[in-house]
Amino acid sequence: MDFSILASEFASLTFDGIVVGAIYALVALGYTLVYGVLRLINFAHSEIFMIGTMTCYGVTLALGISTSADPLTLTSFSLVFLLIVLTASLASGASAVVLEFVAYRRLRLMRASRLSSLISAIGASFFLTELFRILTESRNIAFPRLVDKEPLFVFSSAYITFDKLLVLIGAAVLFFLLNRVINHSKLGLGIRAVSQDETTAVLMGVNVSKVVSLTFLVGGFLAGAGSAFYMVFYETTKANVGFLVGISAFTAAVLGGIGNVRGALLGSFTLGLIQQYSSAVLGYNWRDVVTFVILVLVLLVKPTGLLGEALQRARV
Amino acid sequence: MAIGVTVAVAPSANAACAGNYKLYFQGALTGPAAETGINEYNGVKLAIKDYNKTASAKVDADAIDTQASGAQSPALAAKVVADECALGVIGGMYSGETLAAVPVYDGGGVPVISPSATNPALTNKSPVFHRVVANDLVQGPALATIAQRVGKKIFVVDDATPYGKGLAKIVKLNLKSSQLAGTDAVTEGTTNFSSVVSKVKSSKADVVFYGGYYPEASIFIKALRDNPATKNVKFVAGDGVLDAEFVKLAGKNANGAYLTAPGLPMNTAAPKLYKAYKAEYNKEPGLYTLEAYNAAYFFLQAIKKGNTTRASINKFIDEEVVKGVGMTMSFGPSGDSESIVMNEYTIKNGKVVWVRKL
Repeated sequence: MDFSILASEFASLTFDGIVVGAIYALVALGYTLVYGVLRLINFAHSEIFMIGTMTCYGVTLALGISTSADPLTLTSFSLVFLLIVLTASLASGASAVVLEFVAYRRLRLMRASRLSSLISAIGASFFLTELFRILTESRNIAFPRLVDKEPLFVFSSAYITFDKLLVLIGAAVLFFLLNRVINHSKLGLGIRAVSQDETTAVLMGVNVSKVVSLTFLVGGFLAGAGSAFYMVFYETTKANVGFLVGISAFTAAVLGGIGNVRGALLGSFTLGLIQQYSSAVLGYNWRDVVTFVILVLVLLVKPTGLLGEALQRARV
Repeated sequence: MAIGVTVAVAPSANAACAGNYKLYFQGALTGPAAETGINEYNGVKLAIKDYNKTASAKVDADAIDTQASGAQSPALAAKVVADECALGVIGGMYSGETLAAVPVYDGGGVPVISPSATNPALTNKSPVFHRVVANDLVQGPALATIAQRVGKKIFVVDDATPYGKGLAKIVKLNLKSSQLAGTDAVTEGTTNFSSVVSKVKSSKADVVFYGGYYPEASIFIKALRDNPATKNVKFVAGDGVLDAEFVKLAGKNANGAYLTAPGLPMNTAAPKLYKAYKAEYNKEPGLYTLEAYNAAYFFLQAIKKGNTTRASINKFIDEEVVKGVGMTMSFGPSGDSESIVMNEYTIKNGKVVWVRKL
């Protein structure tokens, strides 16, 4: 145990924790949105993220950017990054919609038990992971350095680099847009209506299937954008990347209160910081132990998560 | 687990196998560590191909793809034991998968020669286990010496695998306590090294030792180089990192890394074989290609001398000295190689370069 590192490296650990938390948040929102509407944990959501990272890599391949190339200039980076974010978001969003159609829709229309949907979700997750494992021969994929990572400025012990700022700003923009969509659009009204009471929503003329599809689209879109930030930040991916990120994002969603959008944000940033601090103080290999002990404690005291709805009221 | 029970009886070499014996390679042919495995298996296949040109009793090469995982290797090893034509195993490639599989081979009496598993826990593990490379009790101190040579304060990180943790432990034992700046352990599959880098930075270390394999090492060294405070920290690691794939994943950040391996560079130790290898596979051999070739060569010499049962081959391995290509091999009663070789390597302009014999 080394608490002195908290003092000497507090700023850098905190900054990195927030950046990691922002990436978790973009994935966690997909879990929480789908849960809000369907009361279903979409376990294949992590693979939607993985498809995003693979798409990012595919775009750089198509553009002929090699891993040994020098970072791009700011102008060309902006264009390339925009292309990557859009392609990855569309790929992930489309995959999420297809996933819903293939793995969940029929079960839902047949009023199958939630357990069936859960198994279907896990099956879809395995299918996608293994598919990409075979396609990539389960190798680590190196992503080219798109932008220079020299620090822009130093804040206490933290080096503020462009890629990390990009993650924070990009995530903030997406959170803002999501907030607009949910609270000020017809789709958002539909999502909120279905989430509150599906039967009444149908009686009020809400097309539930359409709302569900669009919810998956929005969740996939956010995960895809998150994957683009992830790739610029970490510069590596592999077939099981979704599992590593997904388990953290899912934990964050539960920590914040699953089904609650603000909870997903709070949970993600909290989790990012906890992971960063605990791995510095206790050692990286203790990170997950600490994370899950905290999760269990929070759920013991407050089973609904930090900001969550009452799970007991959820229709099971 | 039932595996050990079901395979307890070793099938004797079957008459149906006459002229159709098999040598298996155990290692990763797919997965993150596949590069090392493919390079080793190529060496095995080349040795067998060379042998079959003149031999009367032909030998086939086969492989079990463990993906370097100790969770998968015992079940696959049981398949080898059950194969009546299998006379021996070249492998395993990594220590963890080998430690898990050796008891299964032991139960079936299958002789094993590993070209690259270096964990000391394999010494005296079983009468069927042998290895042509020096173990980490040799590599660890060599790495500690290099770390002391290039810096003053050394930060030790391992990946919690039997190999990485074991090697890191030996390195730590060989450092003075004033030289050890700090330690951390990560897990296989780690991508977020930022907290480790923060710890290295706050420890003011000028050298980092990483006990682990290249997939994580390549991410770690990039994270170190990206942080201005740790940009110039020297990076020292063992044979698990020494691979062309490390350079591919880490890019130019890999340059200047200090690496060791018991393996010999093929182009200087066995230039003729190096040419033949390049002609056959049209690519550079990897670290341990030569060792894999020679491990297979040892088996083939045994078969050539008329040993066609597992037991007689194991006896041959225990007793004989075989002059292979570029190296002479013999094994002590513990299964370890009797000749101790350790080499220092570095990465220069994106190429693995041999520096000196240690």
